[in-house]
Amino acid sequence: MKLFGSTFLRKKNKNRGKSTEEELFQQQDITKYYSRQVDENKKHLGELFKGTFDFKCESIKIGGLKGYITYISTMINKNELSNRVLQAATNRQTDQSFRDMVEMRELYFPSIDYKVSKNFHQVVWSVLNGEVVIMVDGYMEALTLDIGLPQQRAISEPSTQTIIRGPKEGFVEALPVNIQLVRKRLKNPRLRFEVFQIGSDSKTNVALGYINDIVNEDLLCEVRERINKVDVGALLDSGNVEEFIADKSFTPFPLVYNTERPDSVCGHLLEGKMAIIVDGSPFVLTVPTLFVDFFQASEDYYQPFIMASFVRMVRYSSFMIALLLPSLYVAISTFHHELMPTQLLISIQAQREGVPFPAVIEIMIMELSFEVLREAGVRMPRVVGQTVSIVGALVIGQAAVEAGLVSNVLVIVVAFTAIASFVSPIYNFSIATRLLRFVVIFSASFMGLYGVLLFLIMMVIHLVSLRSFGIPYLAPVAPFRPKDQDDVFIRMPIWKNKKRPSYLYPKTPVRIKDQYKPGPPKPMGDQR
Amino acid sequence: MKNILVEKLSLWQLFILIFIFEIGSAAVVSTGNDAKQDAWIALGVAMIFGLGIGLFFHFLLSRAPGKNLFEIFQLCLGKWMGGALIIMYILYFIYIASRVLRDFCELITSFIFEQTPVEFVAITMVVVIIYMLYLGIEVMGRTSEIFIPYFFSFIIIIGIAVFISGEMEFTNLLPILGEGIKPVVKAVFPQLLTFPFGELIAFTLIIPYTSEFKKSKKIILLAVFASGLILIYNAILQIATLGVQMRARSNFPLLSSAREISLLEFIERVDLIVVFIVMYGIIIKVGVFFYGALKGLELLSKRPYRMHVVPLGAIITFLSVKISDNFAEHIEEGLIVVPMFLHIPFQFILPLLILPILLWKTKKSKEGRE
Repeated sequence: MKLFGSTFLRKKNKNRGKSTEEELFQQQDITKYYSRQVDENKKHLGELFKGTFDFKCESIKIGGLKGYITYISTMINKNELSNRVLQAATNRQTDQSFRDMVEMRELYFPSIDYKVSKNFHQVVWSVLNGEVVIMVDGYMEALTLDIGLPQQRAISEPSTQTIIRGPKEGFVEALPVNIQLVRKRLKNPRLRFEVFQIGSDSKTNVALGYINDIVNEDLLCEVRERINKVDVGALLDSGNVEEFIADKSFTPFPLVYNTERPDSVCGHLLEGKMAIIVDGSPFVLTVPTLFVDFFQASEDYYQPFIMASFVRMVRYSSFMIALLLPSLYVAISTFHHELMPTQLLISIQAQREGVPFPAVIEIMIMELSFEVLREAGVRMPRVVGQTVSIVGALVIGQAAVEAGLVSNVLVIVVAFTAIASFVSPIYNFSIATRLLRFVVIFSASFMGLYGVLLFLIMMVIHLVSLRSFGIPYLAPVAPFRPKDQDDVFIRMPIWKNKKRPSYLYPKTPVRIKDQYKPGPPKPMGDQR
Repeated sequence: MKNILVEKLSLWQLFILIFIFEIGSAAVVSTGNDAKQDAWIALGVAMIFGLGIGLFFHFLLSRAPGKNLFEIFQLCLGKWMGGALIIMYILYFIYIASRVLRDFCELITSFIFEQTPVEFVAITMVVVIIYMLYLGIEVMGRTSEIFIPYFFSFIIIIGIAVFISGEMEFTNLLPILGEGIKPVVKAVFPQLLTFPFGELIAFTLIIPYTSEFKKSKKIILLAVFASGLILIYNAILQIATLGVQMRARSNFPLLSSAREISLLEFIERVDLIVVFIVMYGIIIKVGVFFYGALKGLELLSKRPYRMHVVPLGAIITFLSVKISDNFAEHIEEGLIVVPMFLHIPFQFILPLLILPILLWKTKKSKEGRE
């Protein structure tokens, strides 16, 4: 028996935040030594950033001493720089002297967020991060001022997970903004964010967020460990992290959840999951991920629970439709005519009369052309979008039928399948149905319904064998947990949802203790 | 935490596995034909014996906690004698697994794909089973958790649908015990006793690995009882729909009954549903016997059972095809030869012979400890 727990040995705090600034540049052969002579530092920096037009190292006089102000001009907010830093440094009436950098900052830049860099690596790191570094002659440390980044994309509505009712804010590319979006929703001192620097070239900030008194300690260690193991040149999107930390790569099902919605992340944090925010990506990952997560939209919790439960049912059934409808068509029209009522059979066969292909070729042609259309639709410039949709609808749909290449029923099947595959609230879940659909069509084409059943059983076996950070992927259905069923197929009313999911082994399993049930006020006379 | 997350078969999973295992092929092939219209009574009687059989196996296992049947053999008979017995059991399990597989192949090739060779069905089925067992017994349990709602509701729905279609003739069940108790006894012994209830012997290799062994006794009884009820329900459904004669002649009476369904002039020929029930039942049944054989090999070869999955699967496929030349031969063997010469010795006689030795050994070891 495979002992799953072997990876779960307690490694408390051992791997917390491995990459500090000091370690970052060690392998790149950059000196760590920060000199008392500023000119020497300037020389080193100049060599390091040689040939870069936006690297600036300008001399200033501060407190009567020689100094340099260093920054990358494209990474900083220029207004802030001139208003708050340069003016403060030069317009000072008295040339007061100072003991160290902290005192200097108190005198000259009291309102700016700061850091004191004691070695050269930290200086380089700060410059690269868009901070302004002030080096003064005769001091063993440099002052780093954080004056804010240049303009970012404004917070806007998420483009992939639109909803009708609920908050319309979506994550953006900047890590601090994303953390702020989560923090302002959960005012809890135990909401923690640990930062990791990942990528030997990109040194991307990756934040791991969790609520300390909810999340399971061992799960947390496991996630930390996996993030630390990510070894990649450059981390350009959270998708890169996802592939590194998932339990298994050879599966069409996503084992890590991604979302653009801060409210959805908060919901997951409150359940006892963890969020992984990657700088530069508006998609935040939450782990561990379960199969059922992909059928829960955050809007479910803002709509009346009856409606939400119904919509959830619709989602589950459209998953099955998207997966199986084309293959059922192939199986029934090729092998099992007797399963259809006679009238229906006659009308379907009459339409297929002139079609020169067997059903499987017919459906493969249509499915593949739909996949092409879909891919073209995503990548092409918006301007030509109209053209493609017209060509797609007319040529592929109507003309193909009129030319006798495919039958009408088949167009209905393919169209309905396509629409059903878009129902999942998370886009990348439909990848599974898109890929597996072809497998099951193939299987149905030579084994009929028996093939479809074989495929289904194989798929379920595969699904139950999957795990996300050690949690069975199909929990709480398999293994079955009766207590966790209130938010799976149907959503129970919010006031009933008092427990956190037990399959995540949260530290505090109960959300709220007292039993409250909404109801009308008691009649005035009825004072029992 | 580590212990929580190490997966073992939960009690609920054990219940489901026994439930599906018992119903598996028994619901589909015609059972208890000797009792004619009283087949359902025979099933009821067999079920009561089945409860006893379950208790007996559980008692056997509880004498040596944490040990499965094969380990008990080695404990009682020593390495060589026990090993010889284990080899016999492995062969028995392989043989039964291939017989069960053949049942299904015959169903598919005679009802759904008339032109398809038996080999094809056998190979595809075994591939699924190999995949499942390779991933472990917990995967089998969890997969069953996913399918149990469908499995259960389909069986119930078939009966209701036949009833609504107006195809049931409850007079077919009369006269109750018209020929006395004799035909019932004849049906129960040895056929119904050994198949499906005696086949619980395969679970003696699974029960020791459940999460709570102590509570498993109740679960076994419940599962045998529940599956017995479903089998009785099934028998009544088949007799009422087809009549005694038709049922006896039909190879797969459940399938024949389901073909009578006609609702709303739209839902007809629900063969697929029956095929699903049978298919999943067979997968579990073959899987459990297969697992039993694998556990024996694991014990003898001292290598993880995963190593043996593929070769043994190939053997089962081959045997299931070669076991008999045609369906008539297959059924004849299944009804006469196998119960007398295989089931009875392996399910009852050998464990009963072991029992006194086990009692003596465990008593001795207990005294030794004191």
